[in-house]
Amino acid sequence: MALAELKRGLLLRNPVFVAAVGLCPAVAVTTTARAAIDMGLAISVVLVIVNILASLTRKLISERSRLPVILCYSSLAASLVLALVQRFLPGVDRELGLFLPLAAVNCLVLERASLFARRNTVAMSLLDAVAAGLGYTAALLVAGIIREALGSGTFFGIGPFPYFHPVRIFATAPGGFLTVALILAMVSMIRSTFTTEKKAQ
Amino acid sequence: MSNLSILLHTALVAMFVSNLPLVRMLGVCPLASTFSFRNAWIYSAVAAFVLTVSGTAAWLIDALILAPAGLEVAQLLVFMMTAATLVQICETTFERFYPRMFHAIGTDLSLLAANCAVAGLMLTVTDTNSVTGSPFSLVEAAVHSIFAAAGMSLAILITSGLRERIDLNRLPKPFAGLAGAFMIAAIAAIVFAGFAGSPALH
Repeated sequence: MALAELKRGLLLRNPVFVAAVGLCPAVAVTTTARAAIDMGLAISVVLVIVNILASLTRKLISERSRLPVILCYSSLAASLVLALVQRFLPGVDRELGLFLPLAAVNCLVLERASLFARRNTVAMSLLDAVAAGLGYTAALLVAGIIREALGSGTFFGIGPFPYFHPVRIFATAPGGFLTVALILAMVSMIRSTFTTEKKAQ
Repeated sequence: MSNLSILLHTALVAMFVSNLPLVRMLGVCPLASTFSFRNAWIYSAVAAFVLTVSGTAAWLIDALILAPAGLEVAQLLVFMMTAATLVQICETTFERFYPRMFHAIGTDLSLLAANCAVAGLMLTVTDTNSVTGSPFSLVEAAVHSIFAAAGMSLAILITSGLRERIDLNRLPKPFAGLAGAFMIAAIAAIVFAGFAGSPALH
């Protein structure tokens, strides 16, 4: 069951490339693979805390009050992560900048908490948070590796590659949009081939 | 720099040079939602209102309540609650007085509370002004908020207008929908990168 959940979070329902939630950091903090991993892990930690809190108090949250309550949880969790990162990992804080506190309003966190954790047990919510968090980190990592390779000509800071002139646009904002657009198009192409194959059978 | 030129610089930087969605990549989601151009007008007007008020309110809350009380730790929590309240007020007003408009953009409207642009702007105006290098004054914060809001509306209108035109053509299948929306955003972002001067793209 845990494996199926992981597969769902990582591939079938990948937060960024299939469900299309939490796109802001995916476009913004993927200039290097390292930053992408750090961002993904920070979001995952916030998501785990929020999912557990939302699941613990699921009897108390009504349909109308869910957004304010979950926002409250997520800003508490993000404040905690922010304070810890600023204290122990100042380099990561500089690297992620404004997007670290903005984990509080990450669409993935709000979506998982309000759609899943509010209706399921704590253990299931924890599993869901880990799966979605890993899927999110993996998606950011893919975008990060592509953008770092094309934009700076390095791989996890190793390089620069010989005989390769970096395409600077991939390290800037338009490059973020461009990379995400191309990956989304590729995913939708792969998905449509698979669905037509199923129909043909 | 004189006061007036500082304000002018702050306004231009907020609206164009560090445009919220297209340059700073805060609040990208509205660019990806499939509004019609008409609904984009309504949405961007509401978003502009929320951004302007929340940005200015964030400065006031920070300077008058949080800083004197030494409660900077709770900044994020207080800001989020402020934004949620503001959006709830807008939503209730819309539902009561403009039910048809509310149905057109309802769910996107409630998600405005969780929009990175709103939260990002609130955290920006309580930080340093990149124009002067010192913390924002109240007037600078208000000007920054108003023009950042205008820049956000501009970005939403540009992308939704472009999408309406582009959707009339035959697109390659994978680029229909979200991927196409991001492609359009990329083109608009290239244009806005030009406002920062050439080094950004060289």
